[in-house]
Amino acid sequence: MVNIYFLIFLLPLLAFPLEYIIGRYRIKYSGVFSSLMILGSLVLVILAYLYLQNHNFIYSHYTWFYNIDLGIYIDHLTVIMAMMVAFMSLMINLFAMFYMKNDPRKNIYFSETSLFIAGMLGLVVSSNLVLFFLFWEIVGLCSYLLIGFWFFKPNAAAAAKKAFIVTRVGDLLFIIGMGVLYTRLVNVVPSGISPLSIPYLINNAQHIASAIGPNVLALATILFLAGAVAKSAQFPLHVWLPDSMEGPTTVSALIHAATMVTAGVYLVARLFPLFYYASSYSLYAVVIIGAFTAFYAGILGIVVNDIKRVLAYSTISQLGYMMAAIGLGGVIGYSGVAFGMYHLVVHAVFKALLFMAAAVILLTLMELRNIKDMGGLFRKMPATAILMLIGALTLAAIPPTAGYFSKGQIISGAYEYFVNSGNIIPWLLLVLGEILTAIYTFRMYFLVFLGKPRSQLAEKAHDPKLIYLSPLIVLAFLSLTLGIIQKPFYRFIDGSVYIYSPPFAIGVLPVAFSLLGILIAYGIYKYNIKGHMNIVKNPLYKIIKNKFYFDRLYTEIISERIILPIAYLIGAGERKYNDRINSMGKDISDIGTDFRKIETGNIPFYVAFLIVGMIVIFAIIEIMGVI
Amino acid sequence: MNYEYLYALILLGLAGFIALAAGIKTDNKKILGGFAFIVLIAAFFIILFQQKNYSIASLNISSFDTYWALIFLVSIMVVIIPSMNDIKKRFDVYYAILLFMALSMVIAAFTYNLIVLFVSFEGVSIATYILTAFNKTKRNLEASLKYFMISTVGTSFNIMGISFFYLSTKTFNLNAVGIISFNRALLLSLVFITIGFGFKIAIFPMQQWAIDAYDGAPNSVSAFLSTGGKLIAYMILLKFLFLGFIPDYNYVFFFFAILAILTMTYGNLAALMENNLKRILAYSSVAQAGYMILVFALIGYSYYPAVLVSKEIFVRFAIASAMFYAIAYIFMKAGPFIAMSLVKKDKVMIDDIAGLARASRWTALFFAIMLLSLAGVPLTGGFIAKYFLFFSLIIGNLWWLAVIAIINSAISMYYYFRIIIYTYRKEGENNFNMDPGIKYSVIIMGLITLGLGVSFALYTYLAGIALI
Repeated sequence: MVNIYFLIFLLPLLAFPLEYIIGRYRIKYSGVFSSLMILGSLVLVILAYLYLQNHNFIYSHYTWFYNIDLGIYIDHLTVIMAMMVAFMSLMINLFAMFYMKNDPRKNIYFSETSLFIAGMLGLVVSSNLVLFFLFWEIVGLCSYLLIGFWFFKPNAAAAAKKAFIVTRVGDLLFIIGMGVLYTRLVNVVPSGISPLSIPYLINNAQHIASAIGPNVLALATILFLAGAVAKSAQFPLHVWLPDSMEGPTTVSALIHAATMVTAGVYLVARLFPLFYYASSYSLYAVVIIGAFTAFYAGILGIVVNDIKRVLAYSTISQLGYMMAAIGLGGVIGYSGVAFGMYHLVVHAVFKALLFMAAAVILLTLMELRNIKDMGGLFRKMPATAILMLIGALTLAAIPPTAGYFSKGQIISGAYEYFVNSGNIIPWLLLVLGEILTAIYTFRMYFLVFLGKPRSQLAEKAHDPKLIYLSPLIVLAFLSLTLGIIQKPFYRFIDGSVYIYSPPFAIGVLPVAFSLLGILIAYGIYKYNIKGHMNIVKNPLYKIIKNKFYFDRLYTEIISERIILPIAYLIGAGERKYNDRINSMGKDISDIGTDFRKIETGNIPFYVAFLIVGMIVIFAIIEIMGVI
Repeated sequence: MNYEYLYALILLGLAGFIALAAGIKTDNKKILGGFAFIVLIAAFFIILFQQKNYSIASLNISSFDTYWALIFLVSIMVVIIPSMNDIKKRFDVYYAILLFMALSMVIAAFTYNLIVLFVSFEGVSIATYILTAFNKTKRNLEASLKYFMISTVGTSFNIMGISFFYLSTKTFNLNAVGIISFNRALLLSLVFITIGFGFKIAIFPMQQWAIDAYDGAPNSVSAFLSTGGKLIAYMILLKFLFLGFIPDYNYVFFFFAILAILTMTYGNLAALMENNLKRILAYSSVAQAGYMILVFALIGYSYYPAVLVSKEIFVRFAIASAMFYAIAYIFMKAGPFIAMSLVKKDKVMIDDIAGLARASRWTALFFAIMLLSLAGVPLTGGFIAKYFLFFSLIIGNLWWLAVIAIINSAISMYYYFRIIIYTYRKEGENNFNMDPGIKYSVIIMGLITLGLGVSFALYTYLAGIALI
């Protein structure tokens, strides 16, 4: 019998074609069906959650081909992730029905997001890495489609392409990693078990490490990490995420803040046992990449003027925190995963809130994105301003918001990491990242909401009806209150609760830094307004504004100087042989035309031909028979 | 003597005479055709449900033989309804001939005695001479005459081969012969018999009549000639080769490998630039014969020391793939020939099919599916047939032969797709003969071709009955 939990991803998949068809005839009702299907998924996930209160996992699978099986595996980690995805999708989908209200192609939008949500839920619950990879590609494809949803904007089309190509690098490495793991494991697994089955991998990680050697396992896991790095926009493959903001803002909220970009983090969390039992490089790579990205993206976020890009850099930075938290697990054990997942859930809530608030602003400002042209919106749209303030405070981890609990615990964990391993770099980067977070968040907030309107559009801004803001209100409420479930959450993921409480001076440091950051941001804002902030000529500013030249490294050096010449060389060689190949086809058909000349229609000739032919064949056989 | 096993034969023979007698009163094609169709279906079910593994006189009834008998009946069934359109008059004689032919074919399927095989084979041959000339147009008569003349040569080769066989084994019964030691007379008999029956299969040096005859015959008769008429000779060779003897593996293997390579290469290359549609299909039929006799090469090879897997499994695979190929071949080959009746001309050029898709979307689609099946595109019966054939070649360590066949298959894509492109061209000004008998025959046969594309279970069943 088919397990009912397969419907978790099958329901939104059903919405994918139907939403398109319904919308085609009754465009008014676009989004209703997909919302219902997502609600169904959410209900199923909650059922799974209730079931898992007393059980360890749900596992149902069928053989797909050879020794690759296809099925679902839901354990505590999965159900949390799935619940987050389903819930956020529902909230954002409801909001999108308002946001996309006037778009003539909104049925396509909703059918593509349905496919995306199906892919994302499928990715979360899949029981085999191959299936996981399939869904991983589906979400990548949907990301491409949805970033380029307004394909008539050249920027959007270019951004979609960029996102697709950059994540493709990671996908390639991921699939190589699967190949490494498969070829090594295929002779190790007991019969009847797929070598890439997730439950097998995570429950027998120690055995696998001793069977194939920790270094080989480290190679495989680092290749998986590369996939995760591309998907979760970590350094150095982060370049696609800021550009992806060209898509509709609800897409940014759904895909590029709450769900898809966390898939990379989820992959590392899912395969954490493999990372743990591989040689120590792999988790060290995770923590360093994560912590560095958290710090690095924070710097970039300070100088950006596009409201959505600020949020995008903040997403990259926060994903760095999650990655780092999981990487900390190399020293502090599985609670690293619990910290990372908790921050993942909290981040999804407040970042979606921020994005949707930004969407409300952009809707009334007609997609004017430059924060220098806004200003004074607090008075024009107070409801949005308050909602966004809650999101910003959560992002800056000011107590008592949920962000304080989730991020504070990661930084405490990093301190514990320092105490146990003597490596201070992660803690340092993460705690400095805190100050940067506060600066870029509130610089944006102040520029958008304080002062006087600095453009015609900003003067006419207004709040939408409160009913449309209801998803935001739900999320704002959650941002404020999710801190309560910190300990139960850790217990559910980890099985036991480790709350690290470092010395008071260290423990208070993140909050102090955040507050300091807000003050600095206010200073920057004041200077900005008065026009004293003339740093355009400053070389440091230039470097940061140009994103440390990473985009140019990829496009101008790697693509244009290395890959294009190679492609050109290959192309030239191919053109040279193309003629040869074309003429080969012609030669073959000419031979055929000659062959047809023996069809004379002359019966004596036919008989003679037959006799001669058989004699020749017989002669050949005689010669061969002698051999 | 238990006559239960002769019911189907008696039914077919009697029905033939009844059809002839009915001709005195009526020449209504629907009555006569319907009668023949019902009789064939009845015979089909009688044979399907009768007890297997029984021997009576020179008839030997096993699952293997039953399968071939059923295939032959199907190959006649598929032309009954389309012929109502092709044949102009004297339907009583026409359907009576078809029924008598069915009788001969069923007997051939059930016997292992060379004399009986020969007689029943001639029964089919002589019937097809008449059918080819049935409309008495100039083209029909010319085709029939060529076919008749050349086949006479083939028949004489057959008789010679059978005589040589008797000389070296002192029996006509293939079952009675085990594996015997190398013997020149026996080898000669193999070569002669291959030439004789190879005429019907259209193996390379004997293929020339086939192009003319398929081109000149009425379309449904071409359909039968290239399916049933071929398969009966193919089955006789299979029985002869597999049950009769393997005198010297080197000779048998190289003989058939060379014939197969020549046949398929010739058929595929010659079809590339041909513009006469029926001739393209005829060349394609030659090429398909090349793939099919790869099985003979495989059987010859099975006694080779280099065979990796056990001989029995190896031969079982090869024969099962031949049997699957046969059933897929009937539908995918007869279908396009029957579809030629859509064109309101005797001589069908490739331009004449242009615009078929505009005239009837579904007919064009299923016509295309059958052509794709001939080319071996996945999801069609032709793909599965080729897949298992090449698969058995590869497990038998004959991968180089498989490579040649696959290259040939790739070349053949060209002319099949060429036809498909023409059918989907918009500018065609042609009018098509949308007779429901033709149209629905094409659609149903296309559907069956698609259905065979997913019937792996049939192959498993065939592998079970392949060795009798």
